[in-house]
Amino acid sequence: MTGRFLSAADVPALLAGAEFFSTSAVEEGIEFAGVWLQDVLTHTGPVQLVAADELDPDTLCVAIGAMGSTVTMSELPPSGDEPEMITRSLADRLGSPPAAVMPLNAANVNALYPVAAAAVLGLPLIDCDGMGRVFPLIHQTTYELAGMSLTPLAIVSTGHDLTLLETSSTRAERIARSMARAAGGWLLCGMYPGPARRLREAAIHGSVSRVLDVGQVLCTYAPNGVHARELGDVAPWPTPSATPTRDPASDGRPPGPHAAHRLTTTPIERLLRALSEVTGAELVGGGRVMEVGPSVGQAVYPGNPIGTVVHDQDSGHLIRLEAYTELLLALTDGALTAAVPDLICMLDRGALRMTGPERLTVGDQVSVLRVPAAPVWHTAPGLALAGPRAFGYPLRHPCEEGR
Amino acid sequence: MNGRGRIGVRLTGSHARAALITDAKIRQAECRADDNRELSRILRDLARGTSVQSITWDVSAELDPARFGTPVGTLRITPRLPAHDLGSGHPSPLLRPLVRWQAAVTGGHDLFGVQLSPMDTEEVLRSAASACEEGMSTLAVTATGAPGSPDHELAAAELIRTVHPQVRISLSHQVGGLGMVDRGAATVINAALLSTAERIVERCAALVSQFGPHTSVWFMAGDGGRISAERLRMLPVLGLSATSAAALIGAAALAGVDDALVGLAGPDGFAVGHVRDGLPRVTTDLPGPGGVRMAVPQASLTPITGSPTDSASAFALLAEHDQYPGVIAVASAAPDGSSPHGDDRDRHDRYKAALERARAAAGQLPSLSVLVEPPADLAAVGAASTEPSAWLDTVLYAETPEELARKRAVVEQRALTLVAESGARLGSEHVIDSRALSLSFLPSGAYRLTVRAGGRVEVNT
Repeated sequence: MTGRFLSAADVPALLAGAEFFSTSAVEEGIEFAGVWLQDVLTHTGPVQLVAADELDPDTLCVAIGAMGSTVTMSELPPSGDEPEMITRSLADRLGSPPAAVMPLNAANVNALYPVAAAAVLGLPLIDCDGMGRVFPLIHQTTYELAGMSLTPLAIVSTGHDLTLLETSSTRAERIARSMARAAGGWLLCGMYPGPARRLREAAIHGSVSRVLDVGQVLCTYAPNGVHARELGDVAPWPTPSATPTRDPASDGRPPGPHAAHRLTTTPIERLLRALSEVTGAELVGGGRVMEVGPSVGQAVYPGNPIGTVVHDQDSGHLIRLEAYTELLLALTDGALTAAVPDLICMLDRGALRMTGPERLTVGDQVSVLRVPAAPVWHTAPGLALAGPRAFGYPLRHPCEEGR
Repeated sequence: MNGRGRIGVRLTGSHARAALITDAKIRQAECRADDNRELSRILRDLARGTSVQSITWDVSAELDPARFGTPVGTLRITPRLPAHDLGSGHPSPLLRPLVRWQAAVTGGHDLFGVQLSPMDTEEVLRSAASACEEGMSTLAVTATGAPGSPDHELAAAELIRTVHPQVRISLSHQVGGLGMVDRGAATVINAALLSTAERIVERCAALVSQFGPHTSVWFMAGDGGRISAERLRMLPVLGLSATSAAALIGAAALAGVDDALVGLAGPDGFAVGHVRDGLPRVTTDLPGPGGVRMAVPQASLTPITGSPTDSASAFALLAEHDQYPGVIAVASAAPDGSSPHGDDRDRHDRYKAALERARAAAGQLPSLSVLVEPPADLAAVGAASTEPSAWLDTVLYAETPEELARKRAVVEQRALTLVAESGARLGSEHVIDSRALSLSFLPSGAYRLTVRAGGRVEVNT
């Protein structure tokens, strides 16, 4: 056993990491889930984090994840016994209760809810997931790629409407999504039940630890939210210790016309370097947001497409970002430079925190990052399930060039 | 009379700092905050020869919930009650002592206004009776989905008032904002500050009344707008964190611009914000007092700390890439007195450090930039300069673009009405920003709508 435990003290890092891996989490805010999880962990005590191969191969595992809108989740907090309802339903169907929990995807609120589920159920949490980021559909997973069955899918609303679906993955997703809308906007799901031995090939391992590591990096550089303190005799001020010295406009690129102003190693350079070390992130570019607005896209996924244009002042490049709830494509001067299933994310250079199109205003300064997806996503079946064409873009992923 | 003007007053906790602005001049005055007679005198002196149109107060320092909040009870209305009390607590050390009693009853709607569970009215009454037995005189009521439908909050309040007319009630939909945890926290803080706000409003209104019926009294809100005495009395949470917003407005006003990247220079660094159309850029996801997120808008400030040279370079880079002029403002007025000592000496030193930092940055800025060395307290100038505004944040469902446009227009009209109620000149109300953002992971048609509107008062200063 790894001997690692997740406690209430880990929640800030978990939150920050969960935001890094999901643009939509940044935009709509998921702190409510952190407040809730902290309270749960305070009541239950820490959760044990284990690697899949540390479990008995026959251990019955189940993936836990929420589907629906985080805004509606913020308005409809769980009552706390939803995981018990899910596992009871699955146990009735499968003949025995799950003995370990894994995240559907360790990002956005789904980096947190599985921890809460493990805490409430008194089960270990497996350090893996099935996406390595957020995809819009619950069957866009490496579990699916490996042939694990999404169903039986147990879903429960915060009103405790409980359903067990047994059908194909695609139909289960579609039916559950329409139920989510009717049930107030979101559902908690238990899915991909199977023995631990299947996870060896089917899961992305170390995902929860990676979220924590990224979160710790982000928390070091940008304490959660920067707030001006107000003192009686002094106008509102940041404290010197609150944030390190920063030069929010440099990305370590070649010096521009005002290079004399720049510091040799700025906080954003250090942050980018630290993120790169933890995730393998690469800098696509960065600069001023020129445009944010509706884009053209097929309405096959929940949400509406949004386009963002960033002007990299130093190189002169225009970076166009296409988003469909999550950022999906980055085109530099019209050429595809990053694409789903790789993670594309934006860092606000001023606040040193993650950001997204719906939070941005023209004039904001951002850095655009590409984090490579797990290798399985770059295979032909992986790209068919979650590559650019799966999202309606008639494009080849950069990794397909030369194949 | 030398024309018309407006006065802004910032109560810092220890001092009252006032600024009069007219077309021709800016004057300042200062006294101890707790000396009513002296405060009355300096306001009269400040206004001498000027017809004062309004006096706007920044009282956020007087609304510190940790110091001035009184314990309250909370009633949550949710479709399911928390199992084993899970998730019913808030980790904030600020909120724990403020919530002396809590209960939950079933009920609530989703954000689109659909009832998820009928409200348990009998349990509401039982809970209210229990709260009264525990000595609670103020209740904060938060229902799931209240921004979509406030029906259950209103019904609960009516029930409680019928049986316990002495109980004061804060309702979360009046506080506003999405997210039950954040809005619930804001409602608790609001309820805890009701008594304090009442005292402040009465005091400020009495001080303004000496100027006669043509001088109106207003209060700075955290979003940079101004709200009426009645609104602050009912929603003191809106007055929190107003100093940052006021300082940004004051800097832009003194620079003579409506749109700017503003660097507020202090002894330890800059606080950088944006002003658009005379109002600070705001967000709803910033931590408020005690680090508690409250879903109410407040000015967004980014700190730049470090040596004067380094922080000046960093700000210069931001200004270089911004589409609007850069404004550097020293964030406190020069202290009076030629031979400072004690507290004054400390203030003098801080002012000097802030001034040096501001000048160092100004030397690196593009030519269109402005250095502001304010002749009065920056936040007091901002309070005097502030214009009416409104902010609405809601969720709606529209199947077609036409339906979205229609529903959006209704929300925008509501925002314009709020602006008019804050004293905007007829016809000056306008929508500053209106965004319909598609909600993630829901079928197309679900939108979060945020609307910001502003207006101008009668006299242009």
